[in-house]
Amino acid sequence: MRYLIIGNSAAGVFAAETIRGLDPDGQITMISNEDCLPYSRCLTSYYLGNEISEEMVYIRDKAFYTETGIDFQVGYVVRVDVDSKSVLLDSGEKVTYDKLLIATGSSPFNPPLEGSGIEGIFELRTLDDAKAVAEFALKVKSAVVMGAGLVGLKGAHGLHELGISVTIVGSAPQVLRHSIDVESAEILTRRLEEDGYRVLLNTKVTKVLGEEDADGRMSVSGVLLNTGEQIPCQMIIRAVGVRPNVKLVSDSGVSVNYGIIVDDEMQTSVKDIYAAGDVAEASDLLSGEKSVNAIWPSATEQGTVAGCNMAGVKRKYLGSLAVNSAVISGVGIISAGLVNLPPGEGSVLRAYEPNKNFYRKFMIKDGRLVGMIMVGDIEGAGILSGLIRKRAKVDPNYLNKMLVNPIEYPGYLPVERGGQ
Amino acid sequence: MRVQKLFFISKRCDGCRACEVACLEKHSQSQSIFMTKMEQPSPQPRIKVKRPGNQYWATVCQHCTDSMCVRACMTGAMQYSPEGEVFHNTNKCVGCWMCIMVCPFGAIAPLNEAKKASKCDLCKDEKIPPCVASCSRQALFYGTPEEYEMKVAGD
Amino acid sequence: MGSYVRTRALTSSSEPLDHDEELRTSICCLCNGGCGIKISLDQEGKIKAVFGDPENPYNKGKICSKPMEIAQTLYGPYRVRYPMKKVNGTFERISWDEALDLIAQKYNQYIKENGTGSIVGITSKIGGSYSKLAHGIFSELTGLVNYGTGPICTDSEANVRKKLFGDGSGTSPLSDVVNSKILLIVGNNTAQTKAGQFHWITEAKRRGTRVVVIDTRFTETAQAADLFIQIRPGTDAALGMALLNYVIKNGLYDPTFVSKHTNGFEKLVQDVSTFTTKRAEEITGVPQNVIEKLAQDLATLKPGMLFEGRGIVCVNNAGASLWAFEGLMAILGNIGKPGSGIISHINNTGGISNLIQPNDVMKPDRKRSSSALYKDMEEGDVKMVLISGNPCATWPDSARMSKAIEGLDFVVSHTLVMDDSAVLADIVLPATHWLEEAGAQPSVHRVLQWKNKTVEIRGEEKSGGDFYRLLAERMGLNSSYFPDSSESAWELERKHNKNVTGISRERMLATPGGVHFPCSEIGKENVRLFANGVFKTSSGKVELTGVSDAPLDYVDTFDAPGNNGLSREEFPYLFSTNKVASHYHTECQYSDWANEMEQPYVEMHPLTALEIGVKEGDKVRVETVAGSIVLAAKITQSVPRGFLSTQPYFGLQSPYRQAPANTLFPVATDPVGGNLISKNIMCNAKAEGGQGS
Repeated sequence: MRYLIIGNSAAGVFAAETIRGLDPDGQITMISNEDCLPYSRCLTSYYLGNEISEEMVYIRDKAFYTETGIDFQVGYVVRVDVDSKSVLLDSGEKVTYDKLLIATGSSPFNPPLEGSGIEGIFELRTLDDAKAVAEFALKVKSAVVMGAGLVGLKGAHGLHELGISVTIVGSAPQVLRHSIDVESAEILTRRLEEDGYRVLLNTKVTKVLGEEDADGRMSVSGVLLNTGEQIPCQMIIRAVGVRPNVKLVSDSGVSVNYGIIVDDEMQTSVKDIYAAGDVAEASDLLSGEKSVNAIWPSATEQGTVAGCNMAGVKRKYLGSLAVNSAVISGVGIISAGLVNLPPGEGSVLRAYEPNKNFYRKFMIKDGRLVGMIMVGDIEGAGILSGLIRKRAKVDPNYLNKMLVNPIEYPGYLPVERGGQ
Repeated sequence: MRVQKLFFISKRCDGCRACEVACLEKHSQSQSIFMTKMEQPSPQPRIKVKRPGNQYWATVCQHCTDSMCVRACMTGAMQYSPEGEVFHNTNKCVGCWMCIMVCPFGAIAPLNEAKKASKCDLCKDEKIPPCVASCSRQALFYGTPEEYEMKVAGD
Repeated sequence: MGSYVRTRALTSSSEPLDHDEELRTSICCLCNGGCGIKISLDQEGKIKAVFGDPENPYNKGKICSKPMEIAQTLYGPYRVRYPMKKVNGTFERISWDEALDLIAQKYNQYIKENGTGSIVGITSKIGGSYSKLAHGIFSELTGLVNYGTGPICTDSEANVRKKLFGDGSGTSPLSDVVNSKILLIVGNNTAQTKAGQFHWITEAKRRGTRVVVIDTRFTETAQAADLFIQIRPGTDAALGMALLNYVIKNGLYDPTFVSKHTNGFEKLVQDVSTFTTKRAEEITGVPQNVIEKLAQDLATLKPGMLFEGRGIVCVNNAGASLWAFEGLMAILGNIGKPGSGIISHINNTGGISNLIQPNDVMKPDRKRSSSALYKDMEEGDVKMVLISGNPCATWPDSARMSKAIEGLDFVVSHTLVMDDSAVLADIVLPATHWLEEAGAQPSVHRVLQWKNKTVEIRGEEKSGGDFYRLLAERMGLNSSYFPDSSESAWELERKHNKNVTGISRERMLATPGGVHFPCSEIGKENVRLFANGVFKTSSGKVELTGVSDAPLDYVDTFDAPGNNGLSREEFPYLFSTNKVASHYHTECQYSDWANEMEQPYVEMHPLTALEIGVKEGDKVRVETVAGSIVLAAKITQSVPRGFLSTQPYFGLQSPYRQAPANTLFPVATDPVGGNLISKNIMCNAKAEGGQGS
């Protein structure tokens, strides 16, 4: 059996390890356009901020490919040919497969921006991006980060660690719009400002301002905002969003909506072709609808499920649960499931102590916990995310107690199993 | 593959928390229970006894076969040992709390000062884990699942 | 498992019963705490009970278990009532006359044939001021070299202090602690060992003194402290040197005191310069931040005091620890002022001078270190020994000491009880108890208190004062030098020791709590030493590096004498001893009550017990390079892992019928201070009788 995995990040690595565990003799090939060991994109901002060494960015050690017997190839996959069960690399080489996993992830999406062609504008996705930012940052005093999502905030943190004065510009009315609610965002914004960041919300960068240096090269000198304000800076990081890397399957017959649509075995519309990770559009645990859930734990779980099924061991994906964990300016924040209940649906429990940076919100619908946010004391968060995942009926008294007390494992408390 | 891990036998526990003390001392820099409060970063016990209802419950890593924390860890710090135990490499940990976010047992604690997650490492350098040795009522058991079944068969 | 700490109060303020009409006042002479006690007598005049004296301003009615046990020691079956001579291995009663004649004859014979050095005294429990003076006179007349409590208890402390400050005594009274802002207690479980006086420390704490206890064991003293710092055994010097270095590097010392009153500061700076708090953390296990905070506290909380105990004095690297900590007090300027200084139970009143005419003085013809004594006894250089005390339980390598004494030609034991040393004697003489003789008693408060004779002897007991005078008479020496009573002894002492000239018996009795010394005349009492900034060294200054020609340096306890060269595989643990109130001296153990309060046990950490494979109460064989003994395991987290500790002493003749713990210590000396070691020896421990998991 020839397994081909495109992508060597979370989904790809976990799939490969799962396959190797179930099929010791199968031939596994991994193709990535990045010539390096598997690493964690989540850690690039830590690397940028000098919080960790480059060595620590890698999630597997040097012996990974050899010990697992994986054939690793560097290459960019241009196209998947469903009929001949092969993929075409940009080098012109064809690689055939019996089972294919597409784990190509996503790429930063940058809407057109006036003046964006000049030096000093970066993205922060890959290790190479981080290295480029780190190198350029040496001559930078102030920077603007476009985007107040997780990538934007972590990138801003990395620059801040280097002593750079950072302005975060976000178009939404709050930071981390997709992961947390307004109240917890307020805590984080306040903490960021206390730490010396400037946070501009409901704001857009309309134009990049540049100036010529002594060598005649244009480089960033500031940004113009839609408010009319000009912010001088020498560097811009664009982190407004990402798009799944689906180009390789266009016109191949593999169904694509936003990402590549997969069933509950992580198989695409085409037999023997699987997709997992940021590129895949799998069912959501709570809503049941297909969506892309571009987070690390979903990628690894999808990779594991895909790997199982590719190796012939049936395993169902229970659906993605949106979970997020971040430490922003020393404050830990964890959310799981819904972050806001649609008005009129279910009930919300909330505890908020602004001066302690403590916030908890539990959302309950039909007797089940469907979402939670914890800010500050995050110990035991997994117990609650586990309850959401299990779709268990939860005693409201328990949740009320957990609102202000340390989270305790409900163990034998009256918990009724729901869901499937 | 023989996974040996900790089992908690709730009805034997009287909540004395000697296991916490033994664990805290074992995982302190100074190896002194009396210095743990002053140590920086301060150590935490990796087993915690709680009383959520009318019985005690010891929160401790279950070394799951298919571990949420291993999958959620974005640094590769959380990995399986060859025996299948869940091993946490604190050198790699950056304190993102992703593991805490997903552990359904709440068995991973954040060490906020050290910015590291902390969980049961089974004290492989000891004959038996100190928490087990400290438990006068034998509410903690260290062994394989099969051995545990034998142990509680008569209960 | 669980922490083993005696949670109940160690001291009691007991009240006599209504019908205890006659209560006699005395001063307890067991630990130099100087507690006032009240004795109730029965119709026969025997001690019925011992209470604390509420009138005594120092203990304020509090006492510990030690004096309470006295009645049982005094009237118990072990007490020696009359002289005895060993005939064919059994003791036969003889008269004092016969005994004295025999001793005098042997004594003169050995002096004549083998020289004065063939006779030594091992007299750790010599009695009160009367006996001490008589013994001093006797030694001058005969050239007797005496080994007192110094080698086994105080030598390192007294020697280091003498070299630093010119005086081996503690510099300040314990009661001064209420004037201090910080009290550093190092290796001293004073809540057990000075239980009747511990209320001074709790009172000081109540008034705001920060009490910091540095110890390897979590003791009762540690429990009462503001801060307990658990330190790895034998690493105190590293901590002391790091404190010195931090205080110096950060300019936290007293520059005026250093420049005006010390010598050798630059050399001291050099000696400690590599001892960073980080390095100290690695050695001591004490977190760096804790060390630095302590240094800052010592610099800001002034005045401050230091109270060291046997925990750092009787170890194989004691000298450096004492040097470092006392040097630290000096550079902080914590000497001579109220609420500053060093507290110690070593409070010598000084010796007599100009009493013996030069032509009557006999100089010792040879000198031996305490460690060389063993060899010289074994090899026959020593023929005769005069024992007052129980060296076969209190000296290290007790089995070797017993064998050496047994092998001597002639052994005299002047003793309270038939202990492990007395059974080896050729002549056993009954000694009076301190309640059976009057005398002046110095205390940890740097006062002298007079105690009258409280009870009559019930046999033929004699005090050391009488014994040495009578022996001198029989030996044909000039016995007119000797006083013939406690009272006349004190008058003689005052005449020939200017430290006490101003302290009459009447004054001591009339002044509650006694009179501070030194006191050359009324009105010149010194509450604390060096108040005038003049030290008793030849330079008049603190000699910060005068303790040794070698630099102040930390020696790992595993590389220090006694442990040097031993295999860590063979002896993976450390063995130590620690005193408890009820077993303070060997004589205290000859009481049923002591027996009930503390049975022999060895404390060990739960994980050590797990390694050895023993449970609470199981028998453990503790083995060192010197020997092995079997004790019951007491499992407690109050000692660190790999460290075993028991009460010192016991004795095969004691009610415990247990080999002395000191059997386990080889004869080894702290190279800087000179103490024989009786702590921190490398050991192995095994379940005895094959038990264990």
